[in-house]
Amino acid sequence: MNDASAYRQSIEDFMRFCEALGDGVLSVLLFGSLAKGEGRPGRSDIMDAIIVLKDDLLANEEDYYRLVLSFISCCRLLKNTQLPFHPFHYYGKEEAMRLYPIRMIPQWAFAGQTQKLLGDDLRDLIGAEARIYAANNMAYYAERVYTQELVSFLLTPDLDRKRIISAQKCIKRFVRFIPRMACSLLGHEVPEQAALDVLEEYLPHGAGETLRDLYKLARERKEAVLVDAVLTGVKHCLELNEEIHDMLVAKASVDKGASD
Amino acid sequence: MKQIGPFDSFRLSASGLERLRITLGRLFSRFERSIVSAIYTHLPFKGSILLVVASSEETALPSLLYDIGQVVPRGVKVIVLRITELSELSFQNPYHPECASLTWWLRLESTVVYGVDIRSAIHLEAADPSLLACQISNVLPRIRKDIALGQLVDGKYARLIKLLDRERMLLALTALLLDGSWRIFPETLLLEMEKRERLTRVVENMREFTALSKSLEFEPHNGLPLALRGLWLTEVLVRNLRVYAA
Repeated sequence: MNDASAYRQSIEDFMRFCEALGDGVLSVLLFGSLAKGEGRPGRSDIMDAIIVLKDDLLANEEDYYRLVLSFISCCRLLKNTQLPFHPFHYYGKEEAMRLYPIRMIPQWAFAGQTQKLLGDDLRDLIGAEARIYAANNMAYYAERVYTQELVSFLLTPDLDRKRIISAQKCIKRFVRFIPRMACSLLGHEVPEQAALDVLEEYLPHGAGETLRDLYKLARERKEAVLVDAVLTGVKHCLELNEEIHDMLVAKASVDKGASD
Repeated sequence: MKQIGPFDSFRLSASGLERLRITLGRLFSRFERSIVSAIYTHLPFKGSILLVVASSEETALPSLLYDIGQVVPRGVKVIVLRITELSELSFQNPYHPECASLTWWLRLESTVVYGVDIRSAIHLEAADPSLLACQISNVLPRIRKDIALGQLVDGKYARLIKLLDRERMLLALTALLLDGSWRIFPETLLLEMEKRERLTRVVENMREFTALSKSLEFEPHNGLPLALRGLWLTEVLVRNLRVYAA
């Protein structure tokens, strides 16, 4: 059973589990496709959620073990549904306010991307220290260099299934991170998909469409991804990687000229 | 070559470097475009790196990357930059902590395998505590969701410890970089940390984790309690390093 009702049931089970944890749970947020009402039965993952806990629960060793063991029970319950599964996130409140992983989970910070399932609405409080935002922005340049490693897929004579899936993961990483990081440098803090629209305005004609094609490829079922598609995707990533970089450098130069 | 810990140790030998020199010389002599320099180094936590520096007029970096990739030994990761972009290497890199000391290795412990020695133009920027803070913010969800819950749910305790070990070492590596220590190897990491009084609690934590990791090999039936203890030690390590990064 992997229809919409199975997803609803899983979310209800998850909420019941969180309620049973008592007042140590301050808030539970759902994000991802299910939160946006864009769930695809059989494709969408459970459980894209974050549980915000009282800080003491993570500060005491015995409490911590009890907590983790109960999380494991919940994960096993969710996994047994046979729906695509990965575990949920958990944070102490103070951590959620100061250590929010801005690059990995952009959804948490944007309205319309999350649903409050339980407890207080802490979404306005979730964030990271200013220095973490700054470090994230400048990390774009290292990410551009790292992206060059994708060329290894083009140099492998026969990509086996494992390498095809690995290449698709790298493409996913590229379309999730590079456009958002570039947008941050341009002064736009936007979610993943919106970043593609923003960048389209700055890049040569056709680049926006290529980025959206890559986004689609990244979301395809891994069993269905074809070798030719993935190799073309890798080539496009490498080209766009440099186009985005050159655009940012050119823009920074113009901005500097204007300010001088 | 023997691999130490969960890190790639592929490294070119002296004869391998000589062959690389000849190969790159032949390749670049056929190019109309100008290659300024090529520098090889080995990052202990990453593996072999070849930095190829092109002239500022070079436009087609992806095809250059492909051409070079075809002739260098597999296992050597190639980076291609224009000479005007060298300064970009000095920006901090919290998402690839295994490469955080790249500029030091390139400038101070590397071999020029083609062209001009431009190593003095590689700027060395002292690591800022925000590097560690950002790494912690990035790695915490991975530790808790993918490693802790992801492995415990399937009872994969040995894998959990192995994955934790890697993240823990990379956090310690960045902590040392904040202190100005860049020449660190997986096998010298703990020794280097022991030299620093500020890291005493971190060292104790690392030692206990290493002992726990060994226990798991001999007591696989105690997998769950050992894995939980390993996770707790990692929570404590992260808390200690957050203070260090403050």
